[in-house]
Amino acid sequence: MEFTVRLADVNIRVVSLYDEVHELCRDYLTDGEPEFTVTTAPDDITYEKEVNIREAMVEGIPVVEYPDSYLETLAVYRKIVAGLMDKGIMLMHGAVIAVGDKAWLFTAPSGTGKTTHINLWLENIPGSYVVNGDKPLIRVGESPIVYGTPWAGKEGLNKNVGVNLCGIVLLDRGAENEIEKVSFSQIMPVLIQQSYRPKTREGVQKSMNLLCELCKNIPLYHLHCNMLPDAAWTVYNTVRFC
Amino acid sequence: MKLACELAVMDMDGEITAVAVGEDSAKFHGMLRLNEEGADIVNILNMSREHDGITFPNLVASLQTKYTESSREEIAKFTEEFLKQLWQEGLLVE
Repeated sequence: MEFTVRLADVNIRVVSLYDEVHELCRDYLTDGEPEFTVTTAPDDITYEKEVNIREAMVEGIPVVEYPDSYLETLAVYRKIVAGLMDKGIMLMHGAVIAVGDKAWLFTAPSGTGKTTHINLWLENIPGSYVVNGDKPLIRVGESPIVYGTPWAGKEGLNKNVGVNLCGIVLLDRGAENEIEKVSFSQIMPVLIQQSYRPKTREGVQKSMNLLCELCKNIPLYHLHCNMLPDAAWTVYNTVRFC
Repeated sequence: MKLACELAVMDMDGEITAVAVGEDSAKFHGMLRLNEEGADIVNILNMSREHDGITFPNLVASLQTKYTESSREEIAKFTEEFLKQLWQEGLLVE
């Protein structure tokens, strides 16, 4: 299967073994000339299987066996992200919500409540929408732009748009809703954890350089929040004027 | 001894840090904040990881080539303290 997708304003040719990745990318297909090509092979699927097993063991959860067609979608994105790094584009795990032309990325370890918080925005903040629920791409620069992609977590929430990224919010559970501006150094460990980690040392350095540059150009926040609507308003009223 | 996972040492926002590379990040999610000596030790351990690791005396000897104004005892002391932290983090194996 061969097709071209447009992600973060870059056209990428995908040569895949299964149709699932094509179906996943249906809202991002383009007829434009590709800037680079990613091709998957059975070895890439084996690698994703191994990663899945390793991650389950580390987290102490049962190993879920995914079909090869699904694992290929992960392999394709891994290769796309590796290729995009040379164009100043990075992946950070997190949910991105926008209002108009401003977006904010909420990041936190799994299970902290990103989806719950995002839903509070959707239910309470007029005009809010999800750009990407899990794995957005970010074009790093003086005015970073965050993009929707088809790789968007269990719920698959995404929109094929590029929006100004106006801040990153590290989310923590709390009894009260409190948000404070923080330095990169204060939340660096979590941001590193949530950034894409390439297979090579040079790749990791590139990825971390992009993270550093990104964090120089946008405000960073630490949010302690509960699951009440006021949590969304507390954040929005703080970050909307960035 | 040798590192349990490959680490990339880099300057991040003025701080020397080490993070795990690729699939090894599943073993070590976090990051190390390092001083200059710590960075040198991690770099030597990274290089020796490709072979069979390195012994404590050889590690100290290797550091002595850089820290020429420090005595062997001083180098051994800070190396031992740093290695203790790596063991505690599960970053070293026999």
